[in-house]
Amino acid sequence: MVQLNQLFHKRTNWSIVFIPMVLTGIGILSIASSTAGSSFDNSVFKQAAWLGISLLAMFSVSLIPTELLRKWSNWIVLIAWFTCFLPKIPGFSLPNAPGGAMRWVRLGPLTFQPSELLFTAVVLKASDMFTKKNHYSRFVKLCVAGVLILVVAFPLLLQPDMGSTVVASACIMGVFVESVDIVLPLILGGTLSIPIIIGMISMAGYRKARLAAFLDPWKDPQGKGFQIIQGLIAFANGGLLGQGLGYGFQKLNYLPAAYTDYIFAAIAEELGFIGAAFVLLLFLMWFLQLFRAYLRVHIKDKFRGTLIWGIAFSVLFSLLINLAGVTKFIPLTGIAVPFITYGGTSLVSTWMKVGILLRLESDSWQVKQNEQNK
Amino acid sequence: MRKINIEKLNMQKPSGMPKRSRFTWFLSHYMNSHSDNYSNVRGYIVWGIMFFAVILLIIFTAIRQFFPDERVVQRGESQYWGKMNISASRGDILDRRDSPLAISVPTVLFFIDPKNWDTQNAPMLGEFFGEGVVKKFSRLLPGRYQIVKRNVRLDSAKRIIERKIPGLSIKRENLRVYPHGSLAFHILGYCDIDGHGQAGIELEWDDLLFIQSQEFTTARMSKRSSDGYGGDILDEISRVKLTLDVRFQEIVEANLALAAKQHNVKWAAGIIMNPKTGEVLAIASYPTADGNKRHFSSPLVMMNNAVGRNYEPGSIFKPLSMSIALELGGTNKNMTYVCGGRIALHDAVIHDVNNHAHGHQTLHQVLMNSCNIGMSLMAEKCAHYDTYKMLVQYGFGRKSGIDTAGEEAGLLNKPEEWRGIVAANTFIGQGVGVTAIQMVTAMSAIANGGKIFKPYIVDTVYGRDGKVVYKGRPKIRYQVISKGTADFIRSGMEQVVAAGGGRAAKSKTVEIAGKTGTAQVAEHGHYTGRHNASFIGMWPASAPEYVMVITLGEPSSGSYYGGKIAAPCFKKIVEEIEKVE
Repeated sequence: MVQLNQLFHKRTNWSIVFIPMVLTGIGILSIASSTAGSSFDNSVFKQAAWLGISLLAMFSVSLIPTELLRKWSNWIVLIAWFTCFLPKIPGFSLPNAPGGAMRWVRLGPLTFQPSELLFTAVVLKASDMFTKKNHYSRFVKLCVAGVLILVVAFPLLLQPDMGSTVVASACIMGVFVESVDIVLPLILGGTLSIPIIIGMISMAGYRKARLAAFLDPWKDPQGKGFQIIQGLIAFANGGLLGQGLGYGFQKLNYLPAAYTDYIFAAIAEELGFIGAAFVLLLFLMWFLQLFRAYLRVHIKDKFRGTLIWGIAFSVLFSLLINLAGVTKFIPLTGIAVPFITYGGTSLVSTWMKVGILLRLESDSWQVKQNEQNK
Repeated sequence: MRKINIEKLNMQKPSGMPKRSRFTWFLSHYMNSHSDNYSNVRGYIVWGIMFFAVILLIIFTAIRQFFPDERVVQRGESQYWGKMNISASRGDILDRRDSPLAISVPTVLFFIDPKNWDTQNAPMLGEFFGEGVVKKFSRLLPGRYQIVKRNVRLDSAKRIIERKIPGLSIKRENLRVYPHGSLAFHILGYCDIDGHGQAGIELEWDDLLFIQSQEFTTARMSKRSSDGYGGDILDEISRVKLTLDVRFQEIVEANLALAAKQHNVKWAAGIIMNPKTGEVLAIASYPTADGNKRHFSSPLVMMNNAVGRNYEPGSIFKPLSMSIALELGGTNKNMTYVCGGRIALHDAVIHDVNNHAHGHQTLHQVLMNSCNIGMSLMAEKCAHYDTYKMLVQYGFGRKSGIDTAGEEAGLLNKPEEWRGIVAANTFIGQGVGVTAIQMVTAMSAIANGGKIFKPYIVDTVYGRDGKVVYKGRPKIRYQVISKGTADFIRSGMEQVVAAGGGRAAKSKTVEIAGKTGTAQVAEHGHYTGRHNASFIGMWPASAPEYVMVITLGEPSSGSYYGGKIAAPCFKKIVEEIEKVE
């Protein structure tokens, strides 16, 4: 039996694993609460089982040396990319999937969403590409990033899955911004936003209507605006202290998907602002721990630093898209809340990120040690 | 967290660089930072943005939790606590022997909340509700409440519920049922689909019969389909008990309908009254309808001919006129009249039927022959004002006050207008308009020794707590004639049936006293060729228990004489009632 401190550096900061454990626990609790009485047994035990699988996956991934990951990054991203086509292939596709779009793959008894794995793979590949020593200018690198985005987005748009496309693109740009340049994307973004705004104003009627539904859900509170309004009611019901765990009203089938897309609203209702803020502070603490690891390596080992950032960013971006959507600050997309939302693929893939981060955390001490020994 | 010392981060100005402001140096340094020899300012910036993003999310959450849109608050407060109206059952209507005339049967309403309806399930509805429903629910419908079918009886509803069609919800309601079909339709009235009385007792006692649907405060489920919004309702219901006797009512209605069809009449009415109390035991009107159906072929069926139709009574009025003449001294019991078949009075001539001369007649014989001449001579001897006063006491020219809707007052001219032969005409039942209920109420005085009762049909009304809310009691209005006069007239009417114009009503089972009547129908002040045939009477003749009037309006096939068509109908009813009593 190998000792843990032989596998990981002895100064490894284990809060990188513990904080997600707490978050997943909160997730299971609130899944239990919001499914109580209907599909309780199924979803809670399933999610608990998925947590077990996730921890196993996390541990396995954490044993892979980072250099090896970098070496395999081409293959990893290729495999993840190809799996994203599977939902379109009759033998693997899962028809009548939630939402209607073909985002799910069936492998024997297992079903999973391949796009979740692609995010991690893309971050890995982008980190590898943009931290390689070469003499290409940032313009060239930006073009490379653009091509990468197009390639990665292709199978996702085919499914079609707008949310995942946005997250995957954001992951690539996130890595680019950290490792190459921030000013150029900002200028480019600013320049692009002008035609986009003009386009939006002169947009086709139905798109305008959909935008209007987001801007004013009250026009059709029983139809298109139903979900968003019910989510807002959940927040309002919560107040400071919340209704108490298990006492939320919105889960009584008012809030569609109270344990998936809207789980944060369900938490906010039952645990109040205190609970919601606690969840977000946990995320903030986790990101700070990752930042500390980042600081140890970012000068000497650009790849590891960028990878820490990239993975952290992919988690943050999912969180941001979901929460800003649920709180109606941006239009809603079907992106899961990391660690909390019900669903096996999302949980396992997020925990695999934790595995990589744990390895990087351990590495960061080694890097620091080597530096000091010099 | 460790403190980071920026100075250590290799950010010193390169030595060969020209002197520039701090900012431009920072910018140019930063712009070059993709080169190998860099200090990673960008790293701090992006992580800073990340932390700020999380803090921003906390702020977003705080805004939604502490400063929600007023509409969100409003909706949140109203949507869970639904006030569900439970369709309450309606009070029962019973006859005098507690036999149900109108009851509420629990039924089921099927509805669909389009929010929770998958239109692909529509074909499942076909088996139970038909293709029209399938078509309707194959589309997306607006709103939250679309009725599929109402008032489904429990047994069929059970089969539908067992099928567990997703999205098909149920609600309890009640259906008003009249177990005897059209029986006493004009008295009971009917209800609309929501259980509100629309006519008759149902309408008049609606305040009490309609049990206000109870409000249930429920935590409303927005999606779960088969959660019925049930709830317990108070078991006690209000009851209205009528003076009607279902058996009598059935016999009268059946025979009236039979006679009506046989003689092809336009309308018919029949009433049985207890002369000792004024209770109405049966009250029938033809044509009739079935309150269960709620759809009526013509508005004519809605009219209650027993209380709502004015008609000239004709000869059935004569016993009453004679009693008035006796009371006023216009005649006496020993008086005899000579009839020559016609008599000139004032400006006109009064005929007997076919100008038949009756010769010398006692008072009883005047009744037996239904002699217009004798009656006219009596009328001539009576003071107009006194006669009018007594007619009013008998109840003519005003509503009887019976507790059912649609009553008419009849038509009785003021004595000031009684010129020429008006008084004589009134005595023979012409030129006055009466209703069947007025006739039977007045005739009860002959049966009971001279007392005019207020007719009534509602016996007792019980509230939901079982307490008596209303009690119909016999109410004597006038002692309109003396007992002696009443008995004298009654024995005269006995002879009418025994040997006079009412022989067709003579029964072997029970002695009947009665009087026939045949009146021409007046329209716009002129008589038409149409007639109303009536028979009024009482039985047993020596001590009457029941008074009944039968009027067949405008028979158009065969005879139109009261003695020919109304009297046999009367007899048949009496004999059938005697059988069940």
